Amino acid sequence: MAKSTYKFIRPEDVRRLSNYEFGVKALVEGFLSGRHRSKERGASIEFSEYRQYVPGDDLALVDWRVFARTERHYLKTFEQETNMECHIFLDSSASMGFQEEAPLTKLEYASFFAACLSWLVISKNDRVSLQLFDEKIRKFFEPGSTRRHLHNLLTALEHNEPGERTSIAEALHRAHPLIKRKGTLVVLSDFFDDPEAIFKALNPYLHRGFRVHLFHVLDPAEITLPERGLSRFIDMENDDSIVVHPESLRETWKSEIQNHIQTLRRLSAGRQVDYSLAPTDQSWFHLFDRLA
Amino acid sequence: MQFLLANSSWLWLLAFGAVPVLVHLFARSNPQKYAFSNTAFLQRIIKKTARLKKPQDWLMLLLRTLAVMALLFAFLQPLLTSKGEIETGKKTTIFIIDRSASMAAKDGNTDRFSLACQKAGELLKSATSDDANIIWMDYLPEGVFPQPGPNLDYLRDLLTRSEVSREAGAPSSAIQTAISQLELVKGRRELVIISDFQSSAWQEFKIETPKGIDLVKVRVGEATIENLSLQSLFASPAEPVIGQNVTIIARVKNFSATPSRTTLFLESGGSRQSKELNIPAWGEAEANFQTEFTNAGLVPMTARISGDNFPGDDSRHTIVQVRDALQFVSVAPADSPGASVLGRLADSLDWLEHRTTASLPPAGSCDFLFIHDWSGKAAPLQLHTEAGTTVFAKPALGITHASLNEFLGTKLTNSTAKLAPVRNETSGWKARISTNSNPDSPVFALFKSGEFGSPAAGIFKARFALPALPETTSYLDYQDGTPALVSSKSSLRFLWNLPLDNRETTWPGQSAFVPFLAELLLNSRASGKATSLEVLPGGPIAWIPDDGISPESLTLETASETVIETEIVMTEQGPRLLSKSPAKPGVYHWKMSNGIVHQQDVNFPASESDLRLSNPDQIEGGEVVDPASLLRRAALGDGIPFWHWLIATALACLLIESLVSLWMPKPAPASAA
Repeated sequence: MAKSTYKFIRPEDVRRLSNYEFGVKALVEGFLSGRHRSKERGASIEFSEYRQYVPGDDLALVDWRVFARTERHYLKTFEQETNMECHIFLDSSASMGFQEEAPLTKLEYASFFAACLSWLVISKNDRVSLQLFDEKIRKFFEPGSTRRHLHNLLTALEHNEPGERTSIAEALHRAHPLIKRKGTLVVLSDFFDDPEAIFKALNPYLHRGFRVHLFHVLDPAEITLPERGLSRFIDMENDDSIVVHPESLRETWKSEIQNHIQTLRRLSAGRQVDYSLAPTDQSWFHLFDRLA
Repeated sequence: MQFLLANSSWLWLLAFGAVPVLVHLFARSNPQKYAFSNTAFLQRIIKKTARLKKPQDWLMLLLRTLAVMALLFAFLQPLLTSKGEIETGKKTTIFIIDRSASMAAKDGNTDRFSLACQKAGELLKSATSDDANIIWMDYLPEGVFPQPGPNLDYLRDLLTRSEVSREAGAPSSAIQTAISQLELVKGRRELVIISDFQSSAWQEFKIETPKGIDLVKVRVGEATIENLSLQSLFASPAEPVIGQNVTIIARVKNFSATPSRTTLFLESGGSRQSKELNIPAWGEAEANFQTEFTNAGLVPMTARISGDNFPGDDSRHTIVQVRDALQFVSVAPADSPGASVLGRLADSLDWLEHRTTASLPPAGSCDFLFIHDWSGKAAPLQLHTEAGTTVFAKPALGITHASLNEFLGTKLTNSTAKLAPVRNETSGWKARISTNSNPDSPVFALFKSGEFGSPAAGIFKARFALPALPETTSYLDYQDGTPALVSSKSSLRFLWNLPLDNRETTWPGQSAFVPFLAELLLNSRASGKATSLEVLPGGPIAWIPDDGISPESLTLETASETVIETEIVMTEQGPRLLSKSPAKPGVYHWKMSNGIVHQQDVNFPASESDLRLSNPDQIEGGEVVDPASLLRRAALGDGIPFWHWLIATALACLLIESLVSLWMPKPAPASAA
């Protein structure tokens, strides 16, 4: 029995999301003919292009009118409209449980966004999958577009807790064989990982034609360091500790974190990956603008 | 250049210099824990900046520690003295240190004398190139050196070994000794008096020093200390005879603003009596113990009170000389009937020995002197009364009123008028207790019951026609009012207007004659007449032994049989034995072959019991210096205080520390990643 209310999707969110579109410009491959354009050529009324015949092509696709005029064999191809698949990667490592200056932990913030995105995708009869990972994939939900599937996703998000260490690259690498069709890849993480390794793991997806969105979820205190005196900082993922006076390191920290963001941004731009910083003190709705 | 701390007693403050280091280490070792999403970045940043941060940390710690240490040193008031480098001439200092008994009083845990020695020691330590001397102010003040000298180490050592005396102080003598020594030296001269400035010794005192001698008064002791003091102990009469009732009187004084209660114990010959005493604030109480003695000789007695804050004056000694007989001398012709009557009187009394001489005996050689035919010369008798002898004068013919005035202190007019002898051979006159006599006089106490009849019973046929004698004490008079027996106010001179010859009176045959004269003699003795056996504390114990006792065979011992060294000094009266050390309170025995031949006692000086302090400001002359700032003052004379430089250093360190903490190292350039 589906629940009437969910933690990470609220009635006001639903009302607001009804005005949003998802992936209208995306080219997808799907089971059903739908409203999204597909790179797969097929029976459709939407003309795509002419190309020369090569042996093995379906002769039925040869445009004989063109042959009559030019005595050359051209095939007339049409774009096939199909349904879209959205694959959400939600980082659930221990560091995502951090909260200092924002009202939500990073995991809660990302979960709200993931829930809304899932609702939006399913509401458009598209399919959505969900991977909850830390250094391994803790939960994987096959793409689906039913209300039952949505219920399962939302329930999984509600029961999700910060786990152990982060390894985005490892999680992407392991998830690759599980995702059969290309679509939109949405990664929600704090990206406290090696950027080179992350993008190396994204390469197979990009090669398959995935549209990739990276949402860099950070608490404002992680951007500027928290306001406190001399403290022993204990790593939430591996219990390493270090005695630091934040005041004395603040400027250096700001500089370092900006460097890290710039590196992610630069690498994203080089691979036509969409990168967006998502501070947890701002509404997650503006992230949908990146997905339009 | 010498480094000196005026507040060296605060040296422990320097321990707080470790506080910044401890705070640094403690704060580093256990700061508050904080769960953070990722410390790898922080590790990386710290690695990059450590090379800069660590020296910065150490520099800040160093600056903070320096600032705290500078502040703490400022509290110690350091001084830089230039002694030994810029010597402008030697300075001679004489310390008069009060060693009198009151300096044993304790303000807290330290007695005043120790504090005085400590302060003098500190000053001596700071005056390494000066000459100095110490004069102990006690009963006989004397200097340690005959003249100020450079051996300050010896003086400092002496200060640590000296003890307070139990003597009264003699400030005038001490100051005079110091001035006489200082007058013989050149250069800068200073006289430092360290005393409690006890009120009883220093009130209305004026110190005059010659020009060129700086006088410094340093008072040790802060407040009046409450004290109960046993002020006096004596017997009345002072030299009783065997069997005579004696009153031992002890007086206790309360030197405090609150009434006090104490128990007084009297020890004598193994017996012990006690009495409770309530002493009013700033008042005195007296305890009387009645006793009598069965043997003649010297009887030591000791009185004590319960201990208090100042125990030195809680005991007192006296030695009572018990006589076997009193000496009664008649000055009369050998066949004088009156002397004969008195001789018979003495025969009937065990404690009285009578003899007749034709002329006056030496003054003080007898207890009673009866002049049977007094010629009217009062001056020779004066010596006897001054020596404590009671004089009875029976006038001879031709005595004038002037002689009576001189003898009795009365004020008869017509001084040339002579006393007229009158006789009544038929019925005679009767005498009685004078109507003007003191009804409570102990002379007549025996006759109050009437059992012994009238003390002047009998018939008197001859007498002098005496006028009324004002300013005298009447004992007996005739029924017509003519004075029969009167005395001067001092009670040591009696005018006898009663016949003793059996042909002229029947009185000597009356039963009341002997008891009356016995009472008269015993009660007319000078109460203070006693051979003084008390020696003042601080002086030598001295005695001239009687003929027949070899001085070499005598030893002087305390009551606890500790032998005191003595020396023999020849005097006009014979060899005199003197103790080599000053007398301390206690009872001393002169012994010969283990037998006591003489005793003397020494008591705590009563004047030292009043522990009230006077304000040295009110003593004329010199400058008053607080003990705490004494060293600073001495150093200031030659040195420079630099506490304000230390404050400035501390502020500068704090300022630099602020600047260092504000300065942040530039972040390392971003990595290629």
